[in-house]
Amino acid sequence: MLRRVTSNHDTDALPPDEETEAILAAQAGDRTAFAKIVSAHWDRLFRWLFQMTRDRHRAEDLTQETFLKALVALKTFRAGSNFRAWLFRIGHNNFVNLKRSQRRTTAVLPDDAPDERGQDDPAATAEDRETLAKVQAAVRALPADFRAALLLRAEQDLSFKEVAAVMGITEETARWRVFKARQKLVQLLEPENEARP
Amino acid sequence: MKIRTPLFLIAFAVISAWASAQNASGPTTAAEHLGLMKSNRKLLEELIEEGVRLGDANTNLERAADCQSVANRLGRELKRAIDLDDADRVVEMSDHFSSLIQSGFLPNLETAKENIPVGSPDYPRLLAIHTTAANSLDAVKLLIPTEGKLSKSLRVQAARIKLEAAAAAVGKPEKE
Amino acid sequence: MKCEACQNRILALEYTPEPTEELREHLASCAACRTAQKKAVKLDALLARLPVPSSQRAKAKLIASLNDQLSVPSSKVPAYRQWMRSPLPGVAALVVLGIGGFFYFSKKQPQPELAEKPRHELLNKELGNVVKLARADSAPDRLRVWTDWATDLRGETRDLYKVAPAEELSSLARMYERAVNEGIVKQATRLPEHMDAEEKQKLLQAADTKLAEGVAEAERLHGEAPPQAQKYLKQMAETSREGRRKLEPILKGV
Repeated sequence: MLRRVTSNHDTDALPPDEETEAILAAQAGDRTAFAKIVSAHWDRLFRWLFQMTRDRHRAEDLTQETFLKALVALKTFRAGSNFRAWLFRIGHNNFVNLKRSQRRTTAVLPDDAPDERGQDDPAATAEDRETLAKVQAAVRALPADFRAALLLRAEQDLSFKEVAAVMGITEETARWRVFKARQKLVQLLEPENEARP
Repeated sequence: MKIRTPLFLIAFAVISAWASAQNASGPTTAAEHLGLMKSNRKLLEELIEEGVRLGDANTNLERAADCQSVANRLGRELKRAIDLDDADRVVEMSDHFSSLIQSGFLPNLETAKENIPVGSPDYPRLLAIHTTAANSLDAVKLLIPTEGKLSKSLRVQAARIKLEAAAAAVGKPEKE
Repeated sequence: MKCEACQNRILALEYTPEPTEELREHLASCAACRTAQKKAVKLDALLARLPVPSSQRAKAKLIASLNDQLSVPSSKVPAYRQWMRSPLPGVAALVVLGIGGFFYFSKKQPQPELAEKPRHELLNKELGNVVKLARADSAPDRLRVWTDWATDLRGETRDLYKVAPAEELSSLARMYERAVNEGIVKQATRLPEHMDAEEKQKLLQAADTKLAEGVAEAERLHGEAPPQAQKYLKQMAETSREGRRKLEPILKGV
């Protein structure tokens, strides 16, 4: 069966109806409703921004700034449409702005995230951990645009159309970037023995 | 670490401003009220004229253009406030600017985009209006200083975030 | 289906949980592509497990500020959160943030801010009216906005007529004249013929009532106004009267 593994970072995810309700309440001025929305989306957004910035503090700042901007712009969002894509678009714009300001000051985005291997599944084998580290390094080495598209599609499970909307590119370009990024990464993996049918 | 603490304090400022947006208090004395009327008189007169123009506008595109004109006027007022280091006025004008863009300009622009396809006679004007708005927002955002007295005000920094949100909402015209 | 096409489809993540018949058939018969598929699935599993540090503290801070934990009993609230129980507006409360040492202050830490100066209510209303006119796409909607706008200007005059010099009162009288003639009357003449008669009547009547109130109020205030204000109150009364005269035939024609 050809089934793609999607990540499970929705620790406080809201069912769609509840999310729409929370958004409508927040649009009417209910701060606790917006708090629910933050709770539901923070982990995923932070995860993506961390992979983009490779810096925990910057990722936290960007995540917070993204939610603040979403709060301010909330009335322009059509409740019922894809909130996550809308939120990630704001996040992506923030990341792009950060990169631009970094270029202006000739600083580079740090790549000093602590080795988080300790957080891995304790049952994982040493070989797994080594492969994970290789993939992590390879993801970090991808150009930002390819990394962004790959993670939005493969990890955040957005459609190509949504990826394109988040990044302000065409759907075709989104597909191409995901394809090239995966093509590069999959080469790192050792071929597995074929399981018996 | 420096960047993180101010941002979190800004969060409180943004959230508080958002929560109390409807409860801005009016002037407390007749003298203060008169002072406000004197300093805003010219702006108020211009707003009436802009209102008359808006009342005559028949299409979303025209209304978007008129909103842009009002926004430009508020932008000039904002610049004046920045030059005078008047944090309250900076915040006030930024708030009005952002609201106008989000609630007045943007809905008209979006409806105009739905109704004016690429290649139609009005499309160049739509593109021009969108481009002007995007450039104007970029310019206004940059007006808010990141150094000096005003930059130390959390409310001013929160106002900058609102302007950035407005700019993000407007975006840039799509390339054909 | 050729292997290259199959593997490209897998890499491009174009498959769905239910693969196409063509893809399924090829995979059933091709060991190489099954291997490629397994590698792709493994890659996805690894991407999902990429280590990410915790950000729960930052998340909790933002959520706490939104939930505004004023209802937490003081004995359970750490000292650094005492300030959040202040009834002061959030901005003014920032003045006491230094107490408690919850935040690490750098040299560039923002200074405590004074309470915000009051804003001009008329300016807020006028900008609100501008936005409403931007959203209004019919004469009835515009007429409502202009009726409110004229009323706002009357309100400002009422608040200031005893203290304002001639320049400000003259400005208010001029703006009122524009709101009535270029706003109310103009939009009243543009009300569509096919508009529901009862609704049209209601709308015009509401505008007329406000203008009638304008006449009465200006005349009343004129009686107690200082000399520099009387001329402009008289003007506003006349503007309202003239506005009513222009609305009359439209009302009669409904």
